Amino acid sequence: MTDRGCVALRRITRSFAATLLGVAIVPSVAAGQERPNQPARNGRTLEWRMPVPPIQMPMLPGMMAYRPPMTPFLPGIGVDPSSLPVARPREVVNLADGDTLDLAAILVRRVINGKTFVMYGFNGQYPGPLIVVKQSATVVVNFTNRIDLPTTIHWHGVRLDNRFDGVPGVTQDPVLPGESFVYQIHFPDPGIYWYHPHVREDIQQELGLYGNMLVESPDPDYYNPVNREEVLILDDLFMDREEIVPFGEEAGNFSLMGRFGNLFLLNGEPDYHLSVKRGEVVRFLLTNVSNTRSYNVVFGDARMKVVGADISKFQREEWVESVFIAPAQRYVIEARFDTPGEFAITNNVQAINHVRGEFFASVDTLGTITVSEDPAEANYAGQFLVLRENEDVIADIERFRPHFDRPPDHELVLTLRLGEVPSIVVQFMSIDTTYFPPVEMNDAMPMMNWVSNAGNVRWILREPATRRENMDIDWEFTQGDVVKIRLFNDPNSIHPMGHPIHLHGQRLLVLERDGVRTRNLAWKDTAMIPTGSTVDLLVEMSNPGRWMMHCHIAEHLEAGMMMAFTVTPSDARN
Amino acid sequence: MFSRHATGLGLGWGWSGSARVLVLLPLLAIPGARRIDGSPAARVADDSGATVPALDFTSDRTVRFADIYKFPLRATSRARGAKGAGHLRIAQSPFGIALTADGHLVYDLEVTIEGLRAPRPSGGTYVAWLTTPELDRFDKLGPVEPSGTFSYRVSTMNKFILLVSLEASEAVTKRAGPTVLRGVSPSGLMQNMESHELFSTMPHD
Repeated sequence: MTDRGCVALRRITRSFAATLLGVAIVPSVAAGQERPNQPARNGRTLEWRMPVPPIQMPMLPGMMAYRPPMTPFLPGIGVDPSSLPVARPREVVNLADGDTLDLAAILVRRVINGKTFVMYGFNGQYPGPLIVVKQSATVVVNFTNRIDLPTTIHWHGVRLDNRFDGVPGVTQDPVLPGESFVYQIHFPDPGIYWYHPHVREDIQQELGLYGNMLVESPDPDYYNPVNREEVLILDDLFMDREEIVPFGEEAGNFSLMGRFGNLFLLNGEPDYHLSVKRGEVVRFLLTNVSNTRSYNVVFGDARMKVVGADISKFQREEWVESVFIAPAQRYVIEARFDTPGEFAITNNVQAINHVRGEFFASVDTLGTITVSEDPAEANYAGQFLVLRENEDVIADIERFRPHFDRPPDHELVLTLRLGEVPSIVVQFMSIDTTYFPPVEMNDAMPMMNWVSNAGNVRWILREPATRRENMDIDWEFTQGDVVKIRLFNDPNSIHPMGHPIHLHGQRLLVLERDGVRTRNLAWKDTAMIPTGSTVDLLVEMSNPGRWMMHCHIAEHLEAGMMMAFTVTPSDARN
Repeated sequence: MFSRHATGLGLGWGWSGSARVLVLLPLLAIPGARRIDGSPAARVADDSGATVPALDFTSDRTVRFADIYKFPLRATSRARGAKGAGHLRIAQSPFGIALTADGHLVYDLEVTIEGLRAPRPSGGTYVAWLTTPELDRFDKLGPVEPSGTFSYRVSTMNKFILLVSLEASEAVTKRAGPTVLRGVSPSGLMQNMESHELFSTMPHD
């Protein structure tokens, strides 16, 4: 038997034995059971309720009774929902260079599938306003916090002035309820970007504080000609029968797997619909704002190609049959709808059932598209069928080729430290960890996830060279440096999973995965690091300041998986 | 409360559903969490003082290829002395993770074989196949030599058994010959816990 086989067998044997032994070791009654509930709201008390797990993955009886050792939190305590403004769909805000936008985070009333919820919204909208600007524009955002938590705004992917990056404790103080902050945002790169809080993202982003920025190139041929452009935000909300599943007030919950939602929202709508004409080519600018979930998006039987990623177009367009998009990532897709009829936009995954130890096909409808019999006014079929080579991107990236083959400047290991969780959970996790998918596409461990929180799970970026972890890591660069960072997602932790790693304020190339050079590059700000994989990033340190690098699974960030690095201005050397 | 009957573990002592509930409930003791504010620095400081780690799997290793993407091929009695290995790599994709439209992972599979005896002249050829754990479907990968490395694209099964059989010719479309090597994808290590006693009375929705 191989070493791995022996280890697996030992783990299983040990687990079964320990599970049975566990019943004889009876600790005190769960502390979590005695945690206070939140004060009464609208005549009822906010309580922890175990979300009903998927039918394929039932819970152990004892787990159903577990309550997290934190105060349950939902916004708007003591507020009559009928006194709140009804959230309305997002509006498009065109801003010219030098313009100012007033933006407020507020409590809103949302009605979803006939039920009323208190959520958050930028300017009362879901998603927040779509900010459209020209490349190289600088705009001012007067932000006011009118929600019940401290917050900030992070302008995700934008290589802006460090002072306005929106990271509490690093670039600014949190904006307390009732306070304001003025952001000045310069947009050096065309593409699709998004904004969201950087304080308790697991709560604030989940409850609606997100929006897009569309930065238009002055080149009219930057993208292909299309019949229409749709800016789409993918999100999922975690509900039980009555309510949004509460958050931990003192610390994040669902820290192991992250918070997988069970209600899918496209542009904040549970029933998004798009009507197009036969033959239309549609450019979709996709953003995944989910706390945790990665998607595999399919637009019916429409033929589609991928055009761009987070911060640039790809070197070459490619035909694709689906779009894998991790949290915080963006992709620019063009699809042509040739056949009249109604089609679903779906998330198609092979989910894992850890109880049965198998994969199963899971298809969730995200929205629908109706293709009418009427032909499109303009026919762009000819241009659509051509896969463009983007010479501008190729030339830009070629400047960095001398750095491709050199050894990494820094290495990080992505791992996990588990604190005190029930021994029986650890034992079942040991059984589960005989295999890890490269990326978790569903909440395959709802039991383990329910008992995990930022107090007993610590996700780690670990630097082997210094043995430092997370915010203790101290990297310093000079503006203009080109840095190779090697990330290894250690499969030997008790629960490895794929991590979407985001760098603030800079742009990066995913140069190599497991020793295989990437053939088609694009500038990005967020890279998925699959379980067990080694990924080399090449980062252009073009923007001075102190910047964050972290996992963009909101619950992993809350559980510590972040670090900072400093880029000194090049003129500071003189 | 306890009743004696056989369990899957052969330990002899089983326990009723109500007993499980009563015994398992008190196991769920978790220490209280600390207050965490919005500052990353504060969060880290707070985390670093968190509960004493029960398990620490952190390490300083950086290896290029994790073993969870490799699996051994073992010889059957018809091919004693032969061996091999499968090595999965996530296929190239502009999205980093390559998935099919129905969500299957797309892998580049490298199969290395050593020590198979060369078939006798007109004695057939070795062919590699993928099949499900239920053996309800066989996908032909292609002919292989007695020794060497062979590459395939795998995109129809996330969990599979790799077989090498001796077939009449490389043109066969159905597996009929004897198996000489076999191995299970790393995903095949996922355990079916349905048979575990603790799961037998799990409440569903």
